[in-house]
Amino acid sequence: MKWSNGLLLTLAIAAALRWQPAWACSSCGSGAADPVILNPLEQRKFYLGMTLAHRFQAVDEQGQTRKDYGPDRKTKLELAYAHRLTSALFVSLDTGLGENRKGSRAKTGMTDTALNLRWTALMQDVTEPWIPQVQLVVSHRFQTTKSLQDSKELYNLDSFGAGYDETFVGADVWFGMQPILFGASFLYSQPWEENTRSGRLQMGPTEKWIGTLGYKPAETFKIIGGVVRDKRGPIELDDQPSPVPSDKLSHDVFLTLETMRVEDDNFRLSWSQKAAFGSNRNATETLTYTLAWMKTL
Amino acid sequence: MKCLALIMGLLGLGSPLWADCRPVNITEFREATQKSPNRVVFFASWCSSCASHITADRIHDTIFVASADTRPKADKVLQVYLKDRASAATCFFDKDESIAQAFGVRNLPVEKYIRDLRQP
Repeated sequence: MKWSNGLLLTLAIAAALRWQPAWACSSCGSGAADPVILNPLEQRKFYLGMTLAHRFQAVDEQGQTRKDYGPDRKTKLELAYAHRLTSALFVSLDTGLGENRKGSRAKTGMTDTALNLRWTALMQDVTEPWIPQVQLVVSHRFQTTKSLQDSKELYNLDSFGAGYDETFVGADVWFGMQPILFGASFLYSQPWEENTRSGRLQMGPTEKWIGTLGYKPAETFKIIGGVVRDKRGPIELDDQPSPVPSDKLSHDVFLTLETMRVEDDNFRLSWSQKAAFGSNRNATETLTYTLAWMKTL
Repeated sequence: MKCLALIMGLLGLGSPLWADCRPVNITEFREATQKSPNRVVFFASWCSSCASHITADRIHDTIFVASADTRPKADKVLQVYLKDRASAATCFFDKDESIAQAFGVRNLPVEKYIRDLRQP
């Protein structure tokens, strides 16, 4: 199938409108695609998060904000479970149930499912606080639900997934031994080629840089904020590049409040704004709020 | 007095001068703590909030247990927090995390009491 402006717009914002990994967790351990992090003594943890995203505005390849596109509001109930395999390695699985709403119309459906592996290569040490914790992450998101490419509903209300598999690798560096916390994460992803009704779709690889700064005013509470630079390469359809620039660039901000109670359940409240500052293209401006409950089992 | 302690330490007599967290499992821990203080403080080198629980005034009524850590790091943490009192502290290194499991410890810092120990 040939490229068309409508198709390009759809593909260019497909990745932006789908549910993103919970990078607001970036440095509560790390950035990557896994919302639940285990400390060295935790064997299992359950995560339940409720996310609301709204105020969607598409940013085109010129960096101009266009009229709203797709749903007015997306909500998601995210379930994740983490299980320790060794003292330095744990695996987690997350999936969810989403609802897309436009006015009085709404559709619900399962979201994509991700399997994540996180390995602590270097542990933090309070006697040498200038040595960071280093974690490596490998993650795979499976296309398990309908995406924008398969959407048949008006305003893409039946689209809940990316529409392709995607494999992530990343590293997370975190200085968390002082009251002032800081860190950085890098995440690279390679989307898998997918046969769609428009043709063979190959989304470009993504590079995500996350810088995080936080403060721990008490033993049981921390505040973390950060910026994200999210860059995705151009899209190809049947090995043909798009006639207009289809690469994505988005600069996002986030703020997270999290409890760190030792023997009780914990909560995380996150706010993020995508395409919030700097130059952005083929991105989506949106506001996202997440409230999560975490229980160590 | 300090010179005497140093000489005794060098000769291997009496208590070591440095923190020494003895590696034990839960069985050995039960045997070793039958006549020990009741309070148990769990700590590790990766726990930045543990400092307030490892203080010199607790040495005589507290058992310190390092878990999910390495023994050299645990010794070092105790030495940093307790300084020249470190050698007087009762400290165990939870070599297989069985002590933490027996107390139901899943995060740090945490204080327990011997009575919290689950029966085998």
